Formats: sequence, C-alpha cells, structure tokens
Amino acid sequence: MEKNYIKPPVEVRYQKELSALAANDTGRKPDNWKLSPKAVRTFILGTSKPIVMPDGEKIEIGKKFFGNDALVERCIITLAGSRGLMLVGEPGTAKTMLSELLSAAISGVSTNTVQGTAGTTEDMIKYSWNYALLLAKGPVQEALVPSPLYVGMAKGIITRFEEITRTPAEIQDSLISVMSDKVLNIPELEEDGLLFARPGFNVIGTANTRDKGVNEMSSALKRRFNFETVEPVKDVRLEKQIILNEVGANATADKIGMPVDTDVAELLAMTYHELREGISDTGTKVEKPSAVMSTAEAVSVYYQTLSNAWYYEQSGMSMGDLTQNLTNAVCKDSRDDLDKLKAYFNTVVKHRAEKVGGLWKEFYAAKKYLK
Amino acid sequence: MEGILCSEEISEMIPFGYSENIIYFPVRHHSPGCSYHLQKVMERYRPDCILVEGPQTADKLIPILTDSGTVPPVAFYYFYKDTAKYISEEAEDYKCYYPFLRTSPEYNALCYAKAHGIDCGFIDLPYGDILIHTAAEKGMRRKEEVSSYGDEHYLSESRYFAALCEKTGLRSFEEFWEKYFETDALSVSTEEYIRRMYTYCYITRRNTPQEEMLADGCLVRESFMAEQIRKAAQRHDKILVVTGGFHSYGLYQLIEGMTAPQPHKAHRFSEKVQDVYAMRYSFEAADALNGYASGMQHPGFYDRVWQGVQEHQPMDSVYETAVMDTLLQCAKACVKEKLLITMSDMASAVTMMQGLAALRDKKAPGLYELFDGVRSCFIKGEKNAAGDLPLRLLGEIATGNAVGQLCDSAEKVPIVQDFETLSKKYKLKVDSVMEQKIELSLFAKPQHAEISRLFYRLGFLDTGFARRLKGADLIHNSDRSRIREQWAYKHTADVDAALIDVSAYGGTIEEACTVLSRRRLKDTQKCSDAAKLYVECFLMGISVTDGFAGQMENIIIADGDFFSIGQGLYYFNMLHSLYELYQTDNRQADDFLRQCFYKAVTMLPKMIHVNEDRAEECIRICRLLYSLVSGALLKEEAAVLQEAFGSMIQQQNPEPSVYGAVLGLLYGSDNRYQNDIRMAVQAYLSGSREMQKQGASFLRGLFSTARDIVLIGEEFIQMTDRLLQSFSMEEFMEILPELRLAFSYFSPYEIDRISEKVAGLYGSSAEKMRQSLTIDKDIYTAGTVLEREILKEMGWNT
Repeated sequence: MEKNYIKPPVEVRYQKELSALAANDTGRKPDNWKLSPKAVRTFILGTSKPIVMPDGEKIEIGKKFFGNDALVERCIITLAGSRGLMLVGEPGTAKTMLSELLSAAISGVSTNTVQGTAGTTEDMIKYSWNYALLLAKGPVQEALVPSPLYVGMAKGIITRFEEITRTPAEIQDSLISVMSDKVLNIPELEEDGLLFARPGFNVIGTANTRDKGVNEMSSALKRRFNFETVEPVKDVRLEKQIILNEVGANATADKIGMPVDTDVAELLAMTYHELREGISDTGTKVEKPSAVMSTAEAVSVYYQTLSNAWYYEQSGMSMGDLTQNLTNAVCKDSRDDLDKLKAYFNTVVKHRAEKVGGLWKEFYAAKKYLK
Repeated sequence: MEGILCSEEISEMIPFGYSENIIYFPVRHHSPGCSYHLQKVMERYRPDCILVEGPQTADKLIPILTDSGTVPPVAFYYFYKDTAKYISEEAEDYKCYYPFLRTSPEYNALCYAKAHGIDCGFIDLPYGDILIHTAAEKGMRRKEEVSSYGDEHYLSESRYFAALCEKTGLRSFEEFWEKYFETDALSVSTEEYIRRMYTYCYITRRNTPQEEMLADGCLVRESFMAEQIRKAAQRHDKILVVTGGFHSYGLYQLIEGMTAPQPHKAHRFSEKVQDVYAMRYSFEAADALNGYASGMQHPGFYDRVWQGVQEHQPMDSVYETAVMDTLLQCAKACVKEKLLITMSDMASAVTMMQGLAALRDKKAPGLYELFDGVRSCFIKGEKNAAGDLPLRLLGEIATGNAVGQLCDSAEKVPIVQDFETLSKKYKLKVDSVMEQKIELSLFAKPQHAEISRLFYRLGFLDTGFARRLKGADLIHNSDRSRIREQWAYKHTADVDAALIDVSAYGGTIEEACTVLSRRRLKDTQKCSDAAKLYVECFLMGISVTDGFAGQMENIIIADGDFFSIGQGLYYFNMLHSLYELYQTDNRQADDFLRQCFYKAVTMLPKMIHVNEDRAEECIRICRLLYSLVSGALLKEEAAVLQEAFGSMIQQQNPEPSVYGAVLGLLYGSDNRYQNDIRMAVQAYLSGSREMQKQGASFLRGLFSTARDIVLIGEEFIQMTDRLLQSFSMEEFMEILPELRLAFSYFSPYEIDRISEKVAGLYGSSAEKMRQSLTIDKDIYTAGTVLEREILKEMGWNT
C-alpha cells in the first residue's frame, strides 16, 4: 500500500509501531484516545527497548522528532486538556510532521486536515452543502458536506489546521465557539442543528512565523490555544543525521542511485548550523542571514545538488552546484543575505579551507558562484 | 524510580544507622530535601558533635552566622594572597564565597548545634591550603566570574549523570536532581533518601578518575577532613558529619582505614594573607554563583518550599503549594506588565503542570513543570525575545530578591575594608573632611597609575569619591596628549554606603567593578556603548571581556547601526594606538577592532544612501576604515574594503559628499580612479540645476579624502571653475557655505597653490592679485575695532 503513495500518511507508515504500542499500552487514556499519553510520547520520542510481539517479532520504536522532548510532552498534555495546540515556528522546523505524529498516535488518523490559505472560507472550516441534494431534499443531514473540523467533532478525533494564520482573521475566529463550547451550530438543520464534540476532539494548528505570524490572530482565539514554539535543531550531528536520513529516503523514492555523501552532509549541516547560530565551531562570529536556515532547507539544497549530479550524470556531488543552490536558498528575501554569505565564506570557510582542506577547499573555491 | 538509583549493594557500602558512632550525612548545597532529612536525622540521632564541610578558618564566624540577628542569605568571603608564591610565580590574590541560605543543610546543622549547645565546627583545609593543593585551572582555581567554595561539578558534570539524563529524558542535572532528590524527598523515608544519595554520589565518584580528584585537591581535602573527624571521635561518641555527598564515601573509607590518606602540609598564614569575613548576600548573587555548579539554582522557589516544610504543611502538598504560589505571583507580575493572564490561563497551566508531573512520573509538579506550564499557557504566540516575558518574570520570581542581614557583632564588609586598605597603601587622606587634590604621573610612577585606576573604579561604582580635574579624556577624545592627571577626592559616609551597596558583587573594589561591568556589558545592545564600557574598563585596569569576549562579539554582530559600529571602531582603534604607551596586552581589543571592521565593511554599500545629516559622520568612518587598512593590523583586508567602496560608487542616487569621499579614498589606493572622478565631476556639471548644486557637496566629500587631486595638473581646477561659472550669483551664495567647508580641508600652503593656479587660469598671478588688493584704511580701522569689541564680549583678552 505504502508503495503507491509519494508520501504515505503517518498512520500507514508507522502502522506496525502504532499497533505494537496499542497492544502493550497499560497507561491511562483520555476518552477516545487510541494510545495513552505515555505511549504517544514513546511513539514520537522512541525507546531503546523494542516491543516484543506475541509472535516474537521485535518492533523498534525510533525517535521521530528531534531536539526538544519537553515540548512533545507539553503538546501531549495540552491535547489531553480543553485547549487546542498551536505550533508556531520558522518554516522547516517539522511543525507539520509533529502535528501528524500527534494526530496519528492520538486519533489513529493524521489526514483530517484543513489547509489554511488566504482563500479559506468559513464553510471550509465548518460545513458546506451538496447543492444538488440541498435543492432536492432541502437542508437535511444527508445534504450536509462535513468539514474536517465537523468530522473531528463528530468522531472525537484531532483536526489539524495547517497554516492557520494564512486564513483571514475573521475566518479564524469561526473556531472560537467550537473551541470554547465544543459545539457547532448548524441553524439550517433546526432542532438537529447542534453538533456536540465527542471526547477526543481537539485542534492542532500550525503557524509560520515568517509570513503573517500569530500577531494578527484575535486574542479571543489565542486564549483557546496553548502555544508551542518549535525551534530549529541545534545539534550539528543531529542535523547531519536528519539530512542523511531525509535525502536518503527521498533518493530511494525517486530512484536516484547515487549514494548520499556523508562528508557533504556534514559540510552542509555545519554551514547551516553556523549561519543560523551566528558562530563557527572555533568561535568566529558570523552574521546571520535573514532567510530561513532550517534543516528542511538544508535537505532541499542537498537533494537538488544530488539530483543535478544524478540526472546530468556527474561523477559526484559538485561543490559549485552546491554553492549555487545554497546561494539560491539563502538569498531569497534580501540582497543583504548575499553579503552575509560572502562574509561567511571570507572568514569561516576560508579559514577551514586552509586548515582542514579537502572538501572545504573545494567549497571555498566555489566562492565565485556567490552572486 | 526506573531502577536507576536502586543498588542495594552500593548503599550498604556506607553503613547508616542511628547506633553508629559517625553518621556521614551527604548533602547538596541549598537543598531543602537534604535539609529536611538532615533535621530528621539530627532529631533522632541527637549527635554530640556536628562537623560541617568548610574551611576551618571560618569557625570564628559560626557565632555570627547562627546569631538570631543574622538573616540568610549571607556568605562567607574567603581570601588568600599568594605572596609567598606557593601557588604560582604570579603571586596572585584568590577569593571565594560560601553562601548560606535558609535551605542550606550546613546552615541548619550549625543552627541546630547552637540551639542544643552541641560542639560544632568546620573541618576542611584552610582556603589557602586548598588552593595550594589544587592544580591550575582545576577545582577552586578554575577561572570564573566569581568563585565559590561549594563546587559541585562532580555531581552535575559527571559522565554518569549525562548517561542518566539520556536514559530518563530529563533536560538538565537540575531537573534530574529535583525529580529524584527534591519533589520525592518529602514522601520517602530518611533511610531511603540517604540510600539514594549514597548511591548517586558513589556511582558519580566511581566514574570520576582518581587523577582528577587529585588534581583539584579533593583527596587532600578529604584526608584533612578525616583527620578532623578522627580527632573529634576521641572526644565524642556520636558525630554527625555533614559534607557534600561526593565526599561521604571518601571520608568513610579514610576513617575505616580502607584507603591511605594523601600527605598534606598545612600552612600558617597571617590574617593579612588569609582570612574570612561574613557578608550580606542575596538570592540573586547565590543564583549567579549556582550557575557555576555551586548549589541549587532558583533559591527563591526552594526557599518557598522550605517555608512550607517549616510551617508543617502536609508533605504531599508542600510542592503543590509552592508551585501554585509562584504561579500566582508570576500571573500577577504578568498583569502588572500589562499581559492579559486570565483565570482560564491559570487553570490551564495548573492542568499542564499536573499532567506533566504524571507523564514524567514525578510525585508532584516542581519548578520544571512550572516553567513548562507558564511557557505553554502564558505565552500567547511565538516564544522569542519579545514574547518570553512571562518566562523571564517567572525566572526572576524563582530566583528571588531577598537580601540577607548580618548581626551587629559582625566584622566590617570586605569591600569597605579593601577601600581602606588601598587608601592606606596609596597614602590617600581619607580621614579629612576637606577635599584633597593629587597629581598623578601616569607613565612615570607605577603607583600613580594604580591610584588613577582606583579613582576610575570608585567612579564606576558611583561612590562619588573622586573627580578628575585635568588629564586625558579617552571617552570624549580630548586632552589626549596629557600625560598627567589631576584629581580631587573626598571620603564621605556616602562612599561607604555606595560600597556596601555593591558589596554583594564582590569582596574587593576590583571584583565589584569586574562583575558590574560584565553585567552592564550583558545588558548592552549597542556596539558604541559596549566599546565605551571597554574603554572605561581599560581605564580601570580590569578586563570586562576576559572569558566574556563572546558577549562583545555578539553585540557587534547584532548591532545594525553603522554609526554605532563606527564609534566602536574609533574606540578600539584608539586603544590599539595606546597600548604601547600603557604597555598592556592588546590582542582582545584588536580582535574586536577586526570584528567592527568586518561588520562596518558589510554595511558599507548601503551607506552611500545615508541621510545628508549624517553624511559627515559616515565620511569620518570611511576615512577611519581606510586608515585602518593602511596600518599593520588590517593590511590584508585592503582588498575587501576596496570591494565595498567599489560597490558603493556603483549605486544609483548616491549621497554626493559620501560619493565624493569614497571616490577620493579609492583614488588614494589606485590612481586609475582619477578618471572616475573626472567623469563624476562632469556628470554633476552637465546635470540638472539640482545636480549641479550637489556638485559642491561632492567636492566637499572629495576634498576631505583626496585633496591632492586638485593640485595635480590643471584639469581639475578648470572643471571646478566651469562648475562655479555655471551658477548665478544667487545660486553661488546658496552653495557658498558648502564650498567654504570643502576648501577648509586644504592647508594654507595648498590654498596658496590653488590660488596661483586659478590666477593663472585668468591670465594673472598671485603676485598681481596681491598687489591689486588694496584695502581702504578706514574700513580696516573699523574692522579692527569691531573685532576687538567682539573678542572683549566673548571674554577673550587680545
């Protein structure tokens, strides 16, 4: 089944792990949760002890979200309470992945999702009508087209609201009554027009701080959510591992037969880490570009370079291509970022090229592409 | 307990029982959990002698510490002057603090001893001997902002702990400690608590290399402590030994003869060389000290917990009450800061804390759940520098703001004593009520330089003791050529009061200045302010950035104000030029100078569009940058600067004077730019009326950096002439001030040469011009009278 999708949903991808955890779950569960909070945590943060199934099969539960275990714990507890969960952060910090993991573990489904855009309307959030049936039968339950929020309330499962802040503020506010009273009013259905949320229902919103941010969100709606800021991974080794894992998975899916170069991944992880943190491993301060320097961006830069090498049948990854892709990724928003990138090359990369040589020397030689 | 602290085998290695002659009670500094069980042990064991870890020299202060008039937080301030060079050839001074809070087990043990009339005392080596037996950069010789006696880095930095954290998913040693030794402490038996402590400390010890314990003086100290215990055992039957948990097993082995003691030689030092004072302390200072692994952090919160214990609250609700109280205080503080925190937020935070405690298998929510609750439920939006106010407020509340008090019989505050000692050393007349004057030859007499530094330091501490009447002013760049300083000083009661106010920052004036300047640096955001502070510290003879260079670098990196960076450049460059004179180490300031240079160069291209009001300042910085790459320090960066200048002149609509100045600087390094200058002048000439007027500003900029261009050949004079001829009289008058300014950069001799060229242009000569200039005698007389009157009015004698 998984093979037929470009990207299978989390509950499909990790079906074995979820089943094993459910079968061995002895913790207390909030109503309608598939797993207990402790098991949800184990699913997301992993455990060193594999779960042994009755047939003897050992199911490994790997760590899926890196960098902040306490944040995951807070998210789980928030979802067990009456407030919604709002994940905010820069693009590429795995907010969506975390919300999918939480939904899949708690409700068994991660696809009950509203995608927020500037064109999102209130009926996309609440419900709309099948107009043929509406004309034929009038406003009856059968003619109602439920939204993911409606489905979440009716089934007692998590509704994910992606990029909530891209939705106009007045449309976002249609969530207020649902979040506070846990009831959706459908006046057209008259006496059947009240949908009470079943236990287990909650909303996970994600918001990108780079675009509109959460500042325009009404304080009434903000009060219905607990906010969690997801920050980029701070550990270079971890970042390198994520690059290797993600690029490896993408390359396999796209049938790219070129092996992932560990040294290049390390170089890229180091570059992203240093530009993001504004300091090199030897303590040299560098200016941070205003562009997003997320791990996801690093993965994308690597993957583009790898694709280039594969489809144009190069012998290996080219530092020139890598530098050009890096420049394109970093210098999106402002011309100043190019100067900052140049300054990084002139100080840190230059020094490392002299000291370490090898790949860093090639990287420094590719400085000419910084324009 | 996840089996991590459940080794029966280990706990049995140190016997614990109320029938033992000696009980080794393991503690962590400021831990209410340890204090709670220590009190239980004391009540049940009824010792006839209590021995506490701490330099023996402080025995004389026990009556002061346990006096009813003394209110913690207070600290012992130890110092040792290595005049005999036992430690190193540098003969340095050393000092450290040993804070006592209400939650400190050591404090509670000594108070118990006093209340019950029991013998008590400190058993560790004197401070100087500890240092003598410690290797460089180890133990108490580690160079930190402030040093502490109670070093707990063994407990918090061990490999064992790192593995534990990974296994338990806990974020830090503090969270680990709270979970297993604080929130749990009130509900477990004393035997169980001590067993856990022994186990943790034993495993930590086992994972610490012997060489490390030897290098930081731990083994020698333990041998000395064991000796004191043995001596006490000859006089007493029931001895309670209260030491850091790490030492318990070491002491037990020594007393039981299982290990051989380390040889050590105790020295006898005079009070001038080694002594200890009691001083007021604060939660804030204790918290800062605890940042260096010297006890539990957030003392305010744990003091609240201890209060609950003392008030005999039900043990299962002590933490919940403390957490709720602190949460409430945090909510109130948020509301005070105009953050909307509702009852619903409070309720949600409580649910979050309880839920997390359950998820993390904690007996009760503690400080870390409190922080998590506030983070999740009080921060509405992104957690960033602007949005994390609730967390900052909570941090302040958890740290606490209490300041201790010493009883009346306590000795003088060390910093006041330091002031008196220095005054005596430098023969300053501090007994007089009259203002005194002193002249200091900074570079001729080393002691005068020291006195100058002392005056600057006392000024920095706002004591109002001294004011400089004459001398070089490095901050405002005036009188730089003066090599002497004249000061006036007066000792008033305000000076002592100001020193006592800052006593929590250090036992000496130098230390207080160091700590305060580092704090100020921490709060500084502008490079200009930070560099100014650096100059102040240079004058005070202290290093604000020793070990804190990163902070200065961060300020430079984060400062987006070109002019602030320019000011920084100016200060650091000034220091660079002064090092030879002052004979100091210049490497660090040179690094900052480089940082400022790189930063300024990065920002340079944009400055071509600088506002007219700040163009002059911008030109000044451009010239400074240019002069820097002419010097040895930044010679190699000339190409980088030239690239930035090149990028400036390629932009559209430049500010004319900056444009002129930059072109001039480029011409200075490469005369091929002469052509660009010619084209620029022609562009202004042939441009619109407005552009032609801007030509005057362009010339001003150009002359400020490359005035020699006028003196080479005739072409430039001719072009300037054409430009001036194109103006009507009215327009000429309009640009005249600008032109005057432009020509003010020339020396009289150069003006003379230009005049000659101009005269030549019109078929005349300087000689002829001078001859034709006859002035009417009456006008001259009237002018002389007028000038005299003006000078008189201005108070100038002619």
